[in-house]
Amino acid sequence: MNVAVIGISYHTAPVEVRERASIRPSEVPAILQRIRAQFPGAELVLVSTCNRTELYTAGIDVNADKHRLFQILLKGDEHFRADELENHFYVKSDLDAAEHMLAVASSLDAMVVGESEILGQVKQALGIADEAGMTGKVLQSLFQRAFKTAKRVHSETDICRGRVSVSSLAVEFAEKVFDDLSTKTVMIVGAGETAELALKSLMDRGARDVLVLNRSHGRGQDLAERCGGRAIQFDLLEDYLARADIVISSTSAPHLVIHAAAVQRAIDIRRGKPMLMVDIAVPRDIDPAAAHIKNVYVYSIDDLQLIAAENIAKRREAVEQAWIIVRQGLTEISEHFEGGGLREVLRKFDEHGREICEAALKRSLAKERLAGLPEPSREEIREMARKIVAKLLAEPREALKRAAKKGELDSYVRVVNDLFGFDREDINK
Amino acid sequence: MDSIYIISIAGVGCYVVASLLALASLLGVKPRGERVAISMMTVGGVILAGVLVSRGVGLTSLPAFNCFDAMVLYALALSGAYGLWSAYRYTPGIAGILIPYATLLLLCGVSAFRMHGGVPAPVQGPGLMLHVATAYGAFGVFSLASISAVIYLIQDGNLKHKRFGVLWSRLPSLETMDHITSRLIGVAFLLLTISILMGIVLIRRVGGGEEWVLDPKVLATVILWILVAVFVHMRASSDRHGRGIAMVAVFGLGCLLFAFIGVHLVAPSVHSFIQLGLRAGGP
Repeated sequence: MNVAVIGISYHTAPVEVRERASIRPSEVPAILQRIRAQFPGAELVLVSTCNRTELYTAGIDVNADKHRLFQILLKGDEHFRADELENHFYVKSDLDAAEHMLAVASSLDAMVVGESEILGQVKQALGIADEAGMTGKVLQSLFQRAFKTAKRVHSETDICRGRVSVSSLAVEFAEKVFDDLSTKTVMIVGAGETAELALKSLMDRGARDVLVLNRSHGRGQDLAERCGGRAIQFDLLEDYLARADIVISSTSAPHLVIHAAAVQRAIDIRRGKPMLMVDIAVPRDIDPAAAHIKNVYVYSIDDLQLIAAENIAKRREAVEQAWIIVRQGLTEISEHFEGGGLREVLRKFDEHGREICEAALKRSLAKERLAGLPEPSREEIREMARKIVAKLLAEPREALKRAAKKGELDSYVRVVNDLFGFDREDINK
Repeated sequence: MDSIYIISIAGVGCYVVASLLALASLLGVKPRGERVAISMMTVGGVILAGVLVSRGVGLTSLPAFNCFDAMVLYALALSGAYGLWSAYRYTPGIAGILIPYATLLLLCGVSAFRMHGGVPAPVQGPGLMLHVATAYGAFGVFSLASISAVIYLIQDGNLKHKRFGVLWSRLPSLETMDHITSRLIGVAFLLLTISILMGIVLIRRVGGGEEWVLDPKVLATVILWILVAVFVHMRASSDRHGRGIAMVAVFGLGCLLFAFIGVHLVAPSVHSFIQLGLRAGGP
């Protein structure tokens, strides 16, 4: 099938190395053009995320040209020695490359197994390569099969069940307390990065009304502007608390910021309407006694991390089942490509035999002593020659079919190329 | 009669299967089993409704005055209320509690299949039908509201005590349950009010005196009506939400069960469908 992947990921390289090979989506077409200029006719797809940069190819002998490709992926950065690059980059070809692609798309190779973003990123990478005219039948077919396998893994296993990041868990809690987040008010206390991520997750689920309270009012205003919310003076926290359905607190204050008495007053004003409070600050911002107030649900960073760990453990249990689906996908790919390769080799075989036969017949029948032969006799000679060629090629044809069934077609194809002088690239197109 | 009995058992059997599927879905054993459970419950409901019609034709009166008929009517009213709600807005997780509850009612009722009951001739007619239909309608709708409140309390306990297991993930949000409870209790209040008013009309028609007015079932139903009125007031005028109001709704289910069944176990009643044969039951 002559496909390969050459790449770098969190398995093989620390972030200092990965960031040198990180490629923004806007840079991808130009880099693909550079590779295509050096490898005309090759099919290319470049996947670049924060955890990996991988180039999928068809029609390139990556093992022979890997150092050139390393340099292109590193955008000419000559910071690393050749042996360092060997350690950081990996190269896989044929079925190994296909298996890797299925594992990546199915989120089995992700840092957080089961995260759903990777499938979208791989689809986006294929879209960019397709728009740039870098894909062909081989990679298109391979990626579509990878997407199909990933879809099966997501729907038939628990690998994506349960959220695993602190920010997305805040959404999970919110969805167990509230029905429709678009009608809820979210209060962010302290404009920390995790709180902002949690806010973004809530807004992705429909939350619109956002109140931002930060000791530095300017920073609070910045966050409020970014998320389309309102910045409130920090001193007014208790006045606004009753309006908030969801409170996410992440200040760096060394003392409690939201006291139980204030929460009690707020819940009385709210007439028992539930209030979700997520405290991701260390030390804690929300008085633990608030958790005992009716209709108030308080969660600390430890609670969130505990659930995240449980969900990760559940996902790990589903990994084995997911790998079974990936292997089934791999078998399909193998059958598809090796079946296609076999047909191509057999076609070449027939063509080659016919060409030899026709050339020999043309030369022989043109000789003077045979020129007088009547047409039926000439036809008989032609028929005999074709049968001889067919008989000669029959056994090699059967051997090729057996090799394809055993998954050994590639090595046989190489031998056939050498023996019969076929152009290998033609066969594997 | 025997064939109708066998058909009744088939109907109850559908409910039993539906209960197992709904429970399996709730407990995460068969996550997608709830819709199949609802379909099975619908099949069982249609069979049992057919049985009631057939019994009504045989008795030449409304089939609502023995234990079997009463339990089937209550279970059908509850299933119907749930079916209508699901058609309006399907809420996963409720079936795992509601269908087993309805099945329990049916299993209690099926043991009294062969008992007979009736009503005095003067009260027979469309007024009685309206009285019975609105009463069972109110019971069905109120029970669905109360079951939603039970789910609210379970989910509240999960969230408060940080029990993030399968029930936490399978049951709906607190707000969803609160919404169902408050929406349906208003409907139940309306139906119960109509039923009580029709009951008063029927008492006047038969010239009933104290034995009707001071009937334990009538008193228990009036207490239930007052409780529902308090609930409706709490939501309409004070906009109360949360655990407290859910507990009122669950207490209401206790009152309903007492008014429906419990009262017959502690005192004789003109509405009795349990002490059959002792006296002909009224509406």
